[in-house]
Amino acid sequence: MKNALRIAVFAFIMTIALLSRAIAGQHWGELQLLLKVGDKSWKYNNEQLRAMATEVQVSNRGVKKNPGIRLDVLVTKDTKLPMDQIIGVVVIGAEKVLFLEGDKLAHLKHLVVKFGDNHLTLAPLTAETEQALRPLWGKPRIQSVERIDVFQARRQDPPLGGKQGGMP
Amino acid sequence: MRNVRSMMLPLLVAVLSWGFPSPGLWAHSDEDSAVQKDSTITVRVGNAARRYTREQLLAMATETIPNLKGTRKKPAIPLVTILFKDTGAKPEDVEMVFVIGERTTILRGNDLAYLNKLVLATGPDKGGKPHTWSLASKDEEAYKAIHPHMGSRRKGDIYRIDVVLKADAAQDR
Repeated sequence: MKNALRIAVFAFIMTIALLSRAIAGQHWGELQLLLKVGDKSWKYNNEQLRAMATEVQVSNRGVKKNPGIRLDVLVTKDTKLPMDQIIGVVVIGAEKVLFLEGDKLAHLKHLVVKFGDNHLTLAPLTAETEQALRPLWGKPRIQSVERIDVFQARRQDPPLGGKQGGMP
Repeated sequence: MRNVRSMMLPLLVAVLSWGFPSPGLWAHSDEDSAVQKDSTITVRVGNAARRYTREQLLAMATETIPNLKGTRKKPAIPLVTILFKDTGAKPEDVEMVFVIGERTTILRGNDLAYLNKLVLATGPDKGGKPHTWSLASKDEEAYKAIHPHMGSRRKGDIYRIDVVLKADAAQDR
């Protein structure tokens, strides 16, 4: 009887420990993305990002299909920003920063944030977008996207143009 | 013997708790890493990245600027020091600089002429937490020139600076 009780207690402790480990695994593997517009920010977790995924992108090796979120959807869905109010988008990856402005903003709807094995990747949907943006980031994809900053037009902002800039 | 057995159970629980920390503890460790992130700065030029600890950054602080209230002086690193000291890049090769913190500041074109008027400033530790780094201008002229990009007088929580080199300079490296 005593032995059975001891075994039961041991099994209970082991279950708790293994459950904790499983939760830890989920936590460590969780993808997160920070979206900032001025002083406001939105932090998306894995589930929220997957819920926004409407596109499917074939992996580089063509062996599997990854869900993807269109960049224009991501930057307008919760921010409620009309596209014509957006004057710049900065996509910050672990190794690269991509800055889209002017004519390049037309490619927002042809870019997707897709799920890699354990990170988010920015990839072009079309060959046209890849060719147009490749000079900006060198590679066809930006790995480990962790943050996106959106610049909104302000009333006092002069129109963008030339080399002067005008980003907030 | 019975005492030894009775001690085994709490000991086992303690060992397992240590080995498999609770979700609450993980959340706490996330906060710790956020503090760590804020007190260090990563400088990226192309594929090369350098991460400076707070101690290294303080060693680079050769200037001081007054705080916003004007009550004390804060150690400050000239932006050009952190950009060019270890990277080997030259000011004339720079096409764009992203200073990433609570907001992203983009410096390019005419703004690059003010690189030597910008500093990264910090304050003393508060309650054991290291003070974060802020992007600030050394004088009013630089502030007025950069102000449309910065929005406010100082931009806080700087944790990363990305330097984009001109295409020809990037090919040479």
